[in-house]
Amino acid sequence: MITIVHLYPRELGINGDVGNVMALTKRAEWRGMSVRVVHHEVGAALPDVAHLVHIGSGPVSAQHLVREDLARIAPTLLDWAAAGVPFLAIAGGWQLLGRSLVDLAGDAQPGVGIFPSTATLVSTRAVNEVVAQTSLGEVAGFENHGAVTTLLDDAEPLGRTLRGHGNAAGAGPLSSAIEGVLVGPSIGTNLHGPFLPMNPVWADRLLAAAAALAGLSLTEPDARIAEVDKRAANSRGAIRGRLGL
Amino acid sequence: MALALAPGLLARAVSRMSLGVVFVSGSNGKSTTTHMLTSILRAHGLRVFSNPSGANLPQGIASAMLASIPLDGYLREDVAVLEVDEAFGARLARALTPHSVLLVNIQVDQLNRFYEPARVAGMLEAFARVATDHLVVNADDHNLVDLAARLAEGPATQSAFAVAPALLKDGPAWLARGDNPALATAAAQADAAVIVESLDDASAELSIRGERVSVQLPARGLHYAADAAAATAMALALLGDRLAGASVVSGLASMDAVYGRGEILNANGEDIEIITMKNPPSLQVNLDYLDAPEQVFVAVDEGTPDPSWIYGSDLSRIDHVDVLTGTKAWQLATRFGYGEIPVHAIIPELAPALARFLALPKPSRGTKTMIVNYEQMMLIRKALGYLELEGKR
Repeated sequence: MITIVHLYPRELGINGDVGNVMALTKRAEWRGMSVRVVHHEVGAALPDVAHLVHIGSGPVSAQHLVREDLARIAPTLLDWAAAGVPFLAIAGGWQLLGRSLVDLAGDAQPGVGIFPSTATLVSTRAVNEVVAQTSLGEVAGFENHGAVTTLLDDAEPLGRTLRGHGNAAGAGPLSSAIEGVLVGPSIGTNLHGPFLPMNPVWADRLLAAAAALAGLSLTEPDARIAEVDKRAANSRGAIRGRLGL
Repeated sequence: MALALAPGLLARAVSRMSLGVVFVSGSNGKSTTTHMLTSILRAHGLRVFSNPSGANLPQGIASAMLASIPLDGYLREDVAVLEVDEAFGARLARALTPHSVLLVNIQVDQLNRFYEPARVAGMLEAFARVATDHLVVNADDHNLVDLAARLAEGPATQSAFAVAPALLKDGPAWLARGDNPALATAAAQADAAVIVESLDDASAELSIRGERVSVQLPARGLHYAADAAAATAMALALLGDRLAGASVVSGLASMDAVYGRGEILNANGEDIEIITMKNPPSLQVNLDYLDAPEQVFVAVDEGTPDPSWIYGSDLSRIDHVDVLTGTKAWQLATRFGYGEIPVHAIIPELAPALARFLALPKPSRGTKTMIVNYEQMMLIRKALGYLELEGKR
């Protein structure tokens, strides 16, 4: 049994990032593994065990709603990360799990510190389809965020955009930008689509890490997985085509 | 063009309206609410100018109004009730100052355009601020409650409408609660002038300043009851003691019933229900009306730049898709795959996809159902020979 903790699905859920959890769950279940998804709400107790943590994106107003609770559970999240639990954090959720978040007024608030990154909100948003090159091949999705995210400690980016503002947000160039961050098994990214259904190779990388923590290993994909992966590949191809790549 | 020429003309045209100009805006339900308010005011014997349903951008409103102005330059109606797009209300307000503003809700909508609901609050505030007579807001919507509080010192009187907490609790999570259920502010409803107290299929009980009134809705659905409460609250603000419960009832009853949620088109003598994929709340309301339709067509293109949110929608009311089309077809196909909803054909080009779907025999129950974004709907209408917006050809 793999336990996925989905942080604040109600507050940080307006961009359909729940699709990441859906992809992980189905890809595990289709391989015969059972999955338990724990929806962590403000004020609730975390489960004793987690094999993967997901946090989605949301506006500043939603970030404010979860900040206090996030500070409360931060020690446990940091313990999990230290124990190798993979995190997937999208845009606004990633900003909260970085080391600090600077708002439009210039005020800095500490983040949870799972990711070696710092985010600064800016007024020029990045809103467009994205294709980026990563170590596991091309990824595609949609960015819609307004933060300049800087990687610290020479952290490894998830990839580099062929088209897309990536971590530099709207004021930066629209290509060759750094996108996301990789820390061990964990990923921070600005990409929606959602990210994992659109880019299943990364879903399986996360799932393999989670399964290993649960004492399981990933079996070969079945026909259902092959079918959604074909559709995802065609989706990425369509985005590539639209961007003239 | 019309708007550039019009400021003086429009302001003069409405200057003799005793109840002035009312803007109705918000994410979902503004068309229905505008229609309801118009009907309620007409039932009170008032002459009402209103814009055609969905024509809510400044140019369209200005054109419709200019076309109606008599030679002497003054509209004869007592009041203008205008459905206004959130983003363009401020611009329209520069040419045509609203005396009163009714804000129905701020929900997750077109994030590629609006980014986030809180930003929409600023857009609405920009024109709510200039209202001189009445501001009516949804008391269950935290963004709107905050907005009204910011304008508390302004000249407009303030009132609110709400849904009884027990109904909200059992209703769709997002309904009338603003963009985020975690932010529900149902506590505010005690102060609301009009409250939806109960709902039974397509009839609802409203309390209007404490007086209970049973009203007929155009179709079942708590969102229609909330729209009726919104319209009644603005009618109350405008009419005060002249508001008659019986006229609220007859006004709402005079509206055409809505069957299903979508628009009905006709192809080869067969009705087709079209459901538009506008934003998560409105799509969910529409989907919740479906009962495993036998034949389903889905079309999504660049009019929906980022369809990611469809992963958050409950698609359990459809058990398969016959034909899937549009430039975003493969992204939707991926979603259906993870939802284990079989897709029989994926044909990104519209013409062959439409031909394939229309060639299916008439379903044994219900109608053919299309779930499409606005841009695809317009293309489909054109392909079926529809020339204008109002369902005629």
